[in-house]
Amino acid sequence: MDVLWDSDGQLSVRDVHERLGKDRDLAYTTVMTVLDRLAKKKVVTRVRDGRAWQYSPAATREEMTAATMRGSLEALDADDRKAAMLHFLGEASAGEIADLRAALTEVTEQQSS
Amino acid sequence: MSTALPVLALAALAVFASVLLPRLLPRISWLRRTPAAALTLWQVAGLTGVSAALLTAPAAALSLFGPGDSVPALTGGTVQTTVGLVVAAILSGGMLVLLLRSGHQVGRSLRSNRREQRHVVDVVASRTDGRLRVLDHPGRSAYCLPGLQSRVVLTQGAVNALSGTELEAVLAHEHAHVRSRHDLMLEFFTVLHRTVPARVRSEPALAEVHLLIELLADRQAARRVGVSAMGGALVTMAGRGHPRATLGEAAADGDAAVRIRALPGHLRFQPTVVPVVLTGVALGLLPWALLAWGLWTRS
Repeated sequence: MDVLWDSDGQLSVRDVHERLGKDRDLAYTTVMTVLDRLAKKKVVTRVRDGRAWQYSPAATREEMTAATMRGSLEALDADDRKAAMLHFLGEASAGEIADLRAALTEVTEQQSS
Repeated sequence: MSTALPVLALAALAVFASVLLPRLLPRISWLRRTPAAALTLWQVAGLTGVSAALLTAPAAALSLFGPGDSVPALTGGTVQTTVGLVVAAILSGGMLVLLLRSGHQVGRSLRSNRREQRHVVDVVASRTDGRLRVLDHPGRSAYCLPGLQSRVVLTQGAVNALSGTELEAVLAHEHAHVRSRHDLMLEFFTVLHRTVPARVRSEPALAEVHLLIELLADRQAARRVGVSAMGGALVTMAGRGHPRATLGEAAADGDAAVRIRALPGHLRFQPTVVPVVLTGVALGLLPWALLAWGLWTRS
């Protein structure tokens, strides 16, 4: 995915394999399978060029990250999806920062006394 | 000399444990001092509600239409017993089917949601370290996707804002969730919540269980990294990296404040654990004791 994001245009399986090959030893078919799966999940788009597919990312990393965050926050509101992930702190349960700081000071002082 | 008393008690217990207790327990705030014992009590309450509800019909069939029963107008006790048992089996079986169906639905939706999220964070993560994924996002957020292929997800905004020890606290908290499989507990309560009719569902009960699970993870983290690091992590994470319109203003005694105030208590033994555990044991045995009573009065 990084390879696709780093390049501007479309890449074939061979291009991706060559660029990945610099860092690690991967089989050509592995790259092909991964790209095929990503395309099915609509993370990348592909167009046929002769016999080979040309791959490009469906969205930028920033767009996808933002969408992921939105999705994880929306899950906080949906009752049946609440249990899918455990958030460190729910959005609505935060409270006033000043109050929290005061509570923490109180607690640590209590601790040291 | 059979009596309807044990059966009525079982039915009352089913209503008490599945309708009244979920409304009563969130009001007892000192239960939060011992999150593990409190969660055990909640689970026992849930199981008691289910078993009392499932046992009521068979107990009624066995004790009311048993041999030497007190309905003189009807003769042929064995036929009545058989018919009674069949009706009871249909009633209890129906309830069991509802429970299993909601369990199946909740479990499937949870797992498919998690799988989807896991695939996405694996792709978009800007940094990967073991099961940790860092997302390049300015907001402060941390969560875990529990399960066999678990992930802990942090935003870059959270990583930047947290100090070294606070970051350790957040990770310890999330690892506590993942390691102790808190998700399974939450799944159990979600299933029960969804099985009862919508009119008697109690949202505060589910919220309280959520809070207790967070308190439990806080406690495990505080024991590793200390109270001030854990508390600092809560304050930092509550501060927004970027403002987001919240749904109404958060209450002064929101979960974050409750969790911060609970921190010192996590390191001490809490004597209140004793009544909580004893209540749990008694409550758990009650439906079976009532069933035994019903069978005993039958003879």
